[in-house]
Amino acid sequence: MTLTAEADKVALLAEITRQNKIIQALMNRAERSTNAQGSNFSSSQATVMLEDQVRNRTEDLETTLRDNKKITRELHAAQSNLLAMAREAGMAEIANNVLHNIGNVLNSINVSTGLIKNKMRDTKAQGLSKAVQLINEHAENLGDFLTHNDKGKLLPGYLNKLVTALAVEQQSVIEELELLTKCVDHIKTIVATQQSYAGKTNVIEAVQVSNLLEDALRINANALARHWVTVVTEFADIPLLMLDKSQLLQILVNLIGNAKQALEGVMDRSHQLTLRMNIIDLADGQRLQICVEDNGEGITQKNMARLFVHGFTTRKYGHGFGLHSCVLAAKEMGGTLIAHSDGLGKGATFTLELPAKPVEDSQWGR
Amino acid sequence: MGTLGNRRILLVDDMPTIHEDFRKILASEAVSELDEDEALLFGAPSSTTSIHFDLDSAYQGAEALDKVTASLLADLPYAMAFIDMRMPPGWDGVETIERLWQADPALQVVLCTAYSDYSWAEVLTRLNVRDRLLILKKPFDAIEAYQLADHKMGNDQASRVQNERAGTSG
Repeated sequence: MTLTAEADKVALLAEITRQNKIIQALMNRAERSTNAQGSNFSSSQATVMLEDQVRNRTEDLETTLRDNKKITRELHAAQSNLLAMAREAGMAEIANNVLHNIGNVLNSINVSTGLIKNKMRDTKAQGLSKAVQLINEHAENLGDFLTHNDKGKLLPGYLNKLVTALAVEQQSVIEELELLTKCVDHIKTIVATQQSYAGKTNVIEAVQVSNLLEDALRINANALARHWVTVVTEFADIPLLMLDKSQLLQILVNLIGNAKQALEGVMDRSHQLTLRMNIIDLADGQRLQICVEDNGEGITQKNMARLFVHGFTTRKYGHGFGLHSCVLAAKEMGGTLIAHSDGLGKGATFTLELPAKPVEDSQWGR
Repeated sequence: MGTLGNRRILLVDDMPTIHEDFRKILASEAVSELDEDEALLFGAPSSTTSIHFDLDSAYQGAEALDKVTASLLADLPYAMAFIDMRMPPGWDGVETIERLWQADPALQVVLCTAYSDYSWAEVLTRLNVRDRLLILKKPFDAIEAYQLADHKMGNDQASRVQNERAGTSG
């Protein structure tokens, strides 16, 4: 072998050793880093574990979310029940008071009618027929009978007393009848007052205003049809609002009823009732605006001033409760009720404005 | 003492119209000249067999107690009382009866109620009724009230005489 071949061989061996060392170092490094993350197999195993964990956690979260929604629904339902019970309890109390008051008035009615019946049954007029019978029995010699007979002599005096007694009797019956009329009026007042209070339970809930307006129209439907009233509705598409549903309904029913009455006597044009509902933006927030407009008999300047006064009415059988309690209810709800009319025969528009509070889920309806 | 023929009735109700009703029902008509003439002319006597009642009024439970106490002091106890169930703002009927019976255990009572506040069972547990209490539902007929008053007169007579014999007061 030549020297160069020998040298080459040594160099080659050295190179191999050197490469081996590098490889070894690299392998060591690789092994170290692989151990840090686990081997390829254990790394995929870790990924699977991780994915499992993520999946489990997601499932847990979803279950919790479902439970949450279920709890929220149940809470809403419970709250609705409580609202209904509160309203019923309030109305039960009102109804009890009404029963008590009406029971008392009915008692007076009973006693009055009993008294009138008894008086009529035992009327002194019976004495009159007996007296006439006596006269008839002595028709042949009446003059002699009246002048000389013991009984006959009493007769003229008796008849005079009878006239007075009958007048007294008639007067007392008339008084009882007047009392009866007052009792019946009293019952009407009690019922009307109860109706105007029925809405005052101050229960606030989420309300679909367009539905409520339809309800109010439905309640007045028969009357409106009877008087050939065409109803025009212009309802904006608005979200649910937090409102006192029964008070608002009470106001609407009153306003629609008034409009119908204003149209009743109008003969020279077709009857129209327009209901408008929308939300208006003001500086201090949004307001719900409802307009009830009729083309009926209108309101005179003189009556405008007294329109909302308690007891004011232009109706023959009106009790003057309606508009006054409407404006009070509007005020109670933080709103206003105003009337406008161009005058006699020119129709009228009643505008109700209330704060528009949207429903917020996170607050569970408050 | 000397309660035979006691016709004193105490009316206890917060509504004046009810007092009016009772007076109309329980008032008797005096025999008039007219009736006397009729008896002479036609022979048939008019039937005035109605009893005369002595009526007093109280508008609250406390006022009723005052009147009962006074009546005992004057030795002119009431034979009976018509008491309303609901008399705001003061005591209700049941409480009034409790207190009246503390003062005058022999007092006969008719409890008037327009509707049921308490059930009858509840009333019985609260009051020791014995035979002193009857119930009258409003609205009532004149004849019901009259009959009760008449009946209670008898009860009162019997119980007061019995109490005297037994040596208990009132």
